[in-house]
Amino acid sequence: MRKGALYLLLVVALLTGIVLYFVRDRRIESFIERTASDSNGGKVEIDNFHFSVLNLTCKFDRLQWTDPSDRWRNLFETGPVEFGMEARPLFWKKFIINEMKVSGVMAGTQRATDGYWPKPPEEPGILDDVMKSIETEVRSLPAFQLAGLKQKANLDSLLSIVPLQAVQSAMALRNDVDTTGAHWQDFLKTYDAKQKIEALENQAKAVSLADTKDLNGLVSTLQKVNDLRTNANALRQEITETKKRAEGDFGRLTGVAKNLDNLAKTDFETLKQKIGLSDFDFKDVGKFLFGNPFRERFQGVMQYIDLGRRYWPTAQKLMAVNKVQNPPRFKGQDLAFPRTFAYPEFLIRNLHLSAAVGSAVRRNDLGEAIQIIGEASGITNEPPVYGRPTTFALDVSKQSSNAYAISGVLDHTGTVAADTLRVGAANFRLGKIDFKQSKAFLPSQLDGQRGTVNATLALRGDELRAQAKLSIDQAEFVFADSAASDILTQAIRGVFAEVNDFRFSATVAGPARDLKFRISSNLDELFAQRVRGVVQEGVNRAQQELRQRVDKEVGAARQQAETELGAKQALVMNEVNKYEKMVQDQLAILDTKKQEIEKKIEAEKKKGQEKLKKGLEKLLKP
Amino acid sequence: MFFLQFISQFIKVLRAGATPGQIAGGFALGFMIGLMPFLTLQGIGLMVILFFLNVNLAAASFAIFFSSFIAFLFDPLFHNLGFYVLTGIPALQSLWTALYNMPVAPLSRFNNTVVTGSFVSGLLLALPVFLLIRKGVISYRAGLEEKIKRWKIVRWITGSKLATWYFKIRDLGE
Repeated sequence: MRKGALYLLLVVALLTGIVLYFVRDRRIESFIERTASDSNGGKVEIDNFHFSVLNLTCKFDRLQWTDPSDRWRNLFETGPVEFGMEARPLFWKKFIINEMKVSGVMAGTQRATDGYWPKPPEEPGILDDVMKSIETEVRSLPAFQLAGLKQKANLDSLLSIVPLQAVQSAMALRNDVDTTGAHWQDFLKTYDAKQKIEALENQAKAVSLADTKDLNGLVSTLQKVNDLRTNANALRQEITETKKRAEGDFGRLTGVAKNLDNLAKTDFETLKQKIGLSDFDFKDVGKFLFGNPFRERFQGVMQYIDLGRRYWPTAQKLMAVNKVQNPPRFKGQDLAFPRTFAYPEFLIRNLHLSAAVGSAVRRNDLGEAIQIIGEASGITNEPPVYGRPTTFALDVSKQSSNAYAISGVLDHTGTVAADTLRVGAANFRLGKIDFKQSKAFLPSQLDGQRGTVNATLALRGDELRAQAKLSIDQAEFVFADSAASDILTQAIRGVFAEVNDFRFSATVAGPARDLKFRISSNLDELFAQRVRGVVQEGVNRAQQELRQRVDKEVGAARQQAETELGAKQALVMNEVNKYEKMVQDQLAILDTKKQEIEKKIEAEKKKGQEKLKKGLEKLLKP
Repeated sequence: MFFLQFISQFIKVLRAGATPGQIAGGFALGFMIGLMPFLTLQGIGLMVILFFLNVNLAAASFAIFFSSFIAFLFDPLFHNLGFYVLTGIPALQSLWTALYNMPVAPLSRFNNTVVTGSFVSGLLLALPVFLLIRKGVISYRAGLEEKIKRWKIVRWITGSKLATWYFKIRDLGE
């Protein structure tokens, strides 16, 4: 045992204490700067940090938080910040701040030095899924086209580029009719049915009953007639089959001719789409105009929710024991164990905030900046340990405008994160909303004077429901081109010009990967009432013209094809029918002759029987 | 200069003065301290023990210096061992949970894989290191020194200009 060790240790501890006392501020400052910069992916700088050992309070003059996407701009910077820490939790290595006062926060300020810091690898958060879903919804919007209404002059050139299926089919039908007709004409030329019928007729005429006196002669004649009938039936069968074949061929062609109507309809629909004459549905005008601006603002809000999800872990995330394969040297991996005390690693119980944001800050015109004053509570990196959700309530105001309020609850105390956000603003100046669309008949901007907005967002797990309602008085829709080139554009613009009070409502709901996005506004009603009639009338007229043009193009080809088909069909069928009738006639003659012969045979039979009877009676007489 | 003086002091210690046990004890404690990340509660505790026990401080300083280099190489091993000790042994879970919830104990950073891995490695290796060093010192004093002096590498180092210059300056005041 070293006797002087105690003194030595005391000296060492004293010296260490003195050194640490004098360098503590700089050491703590650089520790906080390094830790915050690591998590931000941009430099975080603190000016004049001071830590009071006696009463455990800290303060600093300024904190600059670099925007990771623009290293020469601060996401925000603070003015003087003061906070006190609880002593007891320090024995558990926990930093609990009861009250923190943050004043003079400004967003988007310019940096004097480069704020570069290596970015940590980012895991995909809920923001990616949500924004992909919204993007898909916005892209699925209808492409409103008025150009088709003015395309009449170009219809000829369009018809020369886009071949009409019905016309092509009619041309093909004509060729088919020619080929089929020629085939049947050739067939009929070589067909020997007529000769066969004439031969049959001659043979039938040659059968004479007058010359036949006895029964044997009659039986022989009957046999001849029966043979002739058999031949006539075979010929009739042959002609019937030929007729069926001809009917089949011409029937197929008639079917093709009938289908020309359907093809013409398809052609009409295709051309209608090509020149943008789809039936107009103005219920999506709001979605078309406000889809992109809404998406941008929604993304802004979701970024903060996503940040909350990343840095406010749920119990499930906090207690996950997934091994980090290759942690940095000497860093290792900190593991969490079940807690029986209510001290999270880091906690700000109450935060008092005052901030100035907006473009005026960048111009150093703080009088015109948007002032934010508010409070937050329960800001912690271990919400399940603290057991209470993070809440915040902010009042936002501008000197030349009225206030609006933002409040929210980030409840990550359970296994599933549940975040809610409410924004309410009354009588604020909206400014300009850029629609980012290039259609001349629709506005490019909305310039709103005074408005009211109420928005709620609830995100439980990955199930989102967000709703925003916007009401603007003295709304002015601004068009990129000053002149309206046609009546229709003028009519549509006229409706926008008459809108003074604009009401807008947007809803986003569903699971993050499959969100449904719905926007409705009083524009929809106005369009339904006013423009729809005007536009629909134009659309109908243009459609009618197109229909007539298609019918004209198709009709000419069709008429020619049908005429030829009728002529050829009649020619062939008349001939075949004639043969059929001839053979039927011959069969009828033969049938008559057969009946006559059979009658005579019957008569002869009776005569023979009478003779026989009489002969027998004579023989049997006694 | 500092490095040569450091080695020189250590060799002086090996020759005479402290007992082999004191040297080995100092080395073993220094070895444990050097393996761990510096600012931990157990690291400070071991430093206090080092000051209180009558062990050789020069040997401890040398060991801290030496094992700090080794620690860098074995860091991934410490991480794996620490992770296993903290999560893979069910019987210890209640101990870790109790420590985690105790005041002051979290300052030891025991829930860090590298801290626990290196501490456990230090504990396991302390006794073998102690025995090995003690045997080494005894052998050195019994005649190994003369043999080592005849090693080519030793003769090359002691005959170098830098070493000659250092010895001259060192002996000026004597």
